Amino acid sequence: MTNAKKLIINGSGSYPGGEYDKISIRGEGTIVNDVTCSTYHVYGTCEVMENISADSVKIMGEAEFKGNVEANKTLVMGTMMIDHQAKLKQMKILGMLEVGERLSGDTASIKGSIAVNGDVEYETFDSSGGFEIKGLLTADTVKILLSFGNSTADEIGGSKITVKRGAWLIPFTNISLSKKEGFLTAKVIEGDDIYLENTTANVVRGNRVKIGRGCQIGLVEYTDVFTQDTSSTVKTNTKR
Amino acid sequence: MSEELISKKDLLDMARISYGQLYRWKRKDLIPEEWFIRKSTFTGQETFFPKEKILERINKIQSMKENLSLDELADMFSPNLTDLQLSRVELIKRNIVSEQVMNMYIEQDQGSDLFTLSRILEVYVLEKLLQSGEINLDEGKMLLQVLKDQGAQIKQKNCELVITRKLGVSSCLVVINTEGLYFERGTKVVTTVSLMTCMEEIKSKLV
Repeated sequence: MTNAKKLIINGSGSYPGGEYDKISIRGEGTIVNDVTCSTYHVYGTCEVMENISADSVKIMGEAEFKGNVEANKTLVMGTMMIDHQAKLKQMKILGMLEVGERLSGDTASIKGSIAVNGDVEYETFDSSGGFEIKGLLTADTVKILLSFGNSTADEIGGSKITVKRGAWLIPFTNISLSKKEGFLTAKVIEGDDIYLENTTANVVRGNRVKIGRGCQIGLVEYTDVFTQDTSSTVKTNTKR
Repeated sequence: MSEELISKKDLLDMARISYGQLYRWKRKDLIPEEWFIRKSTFTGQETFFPKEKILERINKIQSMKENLSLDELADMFSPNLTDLQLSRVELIKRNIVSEQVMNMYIEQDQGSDLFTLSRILEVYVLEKLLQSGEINLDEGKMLLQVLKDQGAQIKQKNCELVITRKLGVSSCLVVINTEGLYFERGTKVVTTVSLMTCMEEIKSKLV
């Protein structure tokens, strides 16, 4: 970036976009046009009216993006809201992320929660928080640890899909960390290797399907292996 | 334009690929979103694909993935206008455009001798239709004008170019993601060209 400048907003202010090196917002800031920068840190609240592309984004406070967002590294400890598409290559969500359209990238690690109104596409998707996806969740490996609340996705697809109940307080016992358990609801789950716990789904299709405890599945279609825990209900299962 | 559909599991069986692969290709945009047709069946929700298109696409992917990375393949399939530029001489040499059509295009376009991908597409479509004898020179000019005006629409989308004629008067339109297209009696559809297919043809000639 040639002659890129720093933008630091400590009080409140509204600034034009353009090219910056570092942007740091500690008070309340608004950026009115498209903006490109290397790092974008928000400790207060901010609003970007158009698109943003950044190398690293850190949100400790609250940030609202009215356009698209593109970032290499994203860390959200506060709240991040994106109205349109988001391409977050490596993202770590400890707080809350809301996306209006499609969310895509390479690795996702979710300990907080996300709500997406479109499809979610990652290479690895690792969640121990909650999510609400109104579209297809697809990743090469989907790993979901249900520790609280009700997570939902319209469809889940990938090669390896693992859904487990939340972490135990004392290992190798059944005393769970929190009183509440998490649940997953999806219409369709498709993958090569599937392991499910605490899941409600209409259809599960895969090569090797293992149904653990606490599941309610309408139909399982499998090619190689099918096992089922006695505490789960599977209405029908067919080998093809 | 009803096509024969194939369900996802039949497709996986037939093409001998796994769910993981199919989803990976979808993520890489090797298979366009519009081909995923969701329907509810008596066994629950199922996804269907246009049979001919998807089988052809998977064939292509499988035959080329040994030489090209998935990202390169994605570039090839997407009609996204990359920053490729070719000179006029190069285009003629690579047999994308004949010399006469090129001269006509330059005359009409008044542009430089360096061709971006969008201009290559324009001249390629012109070449294709003029050579097949389906349109005449005037219609060619009209076609160029439509393509130029709608350039922004053509990116990424599944576009078709339709040329119709009625009582000797011709007209030219670009349609995006159509289900069907119907005209009044007496209208003759001269030709429909899928711009996406054209783009793939060009790209396969460039590689």
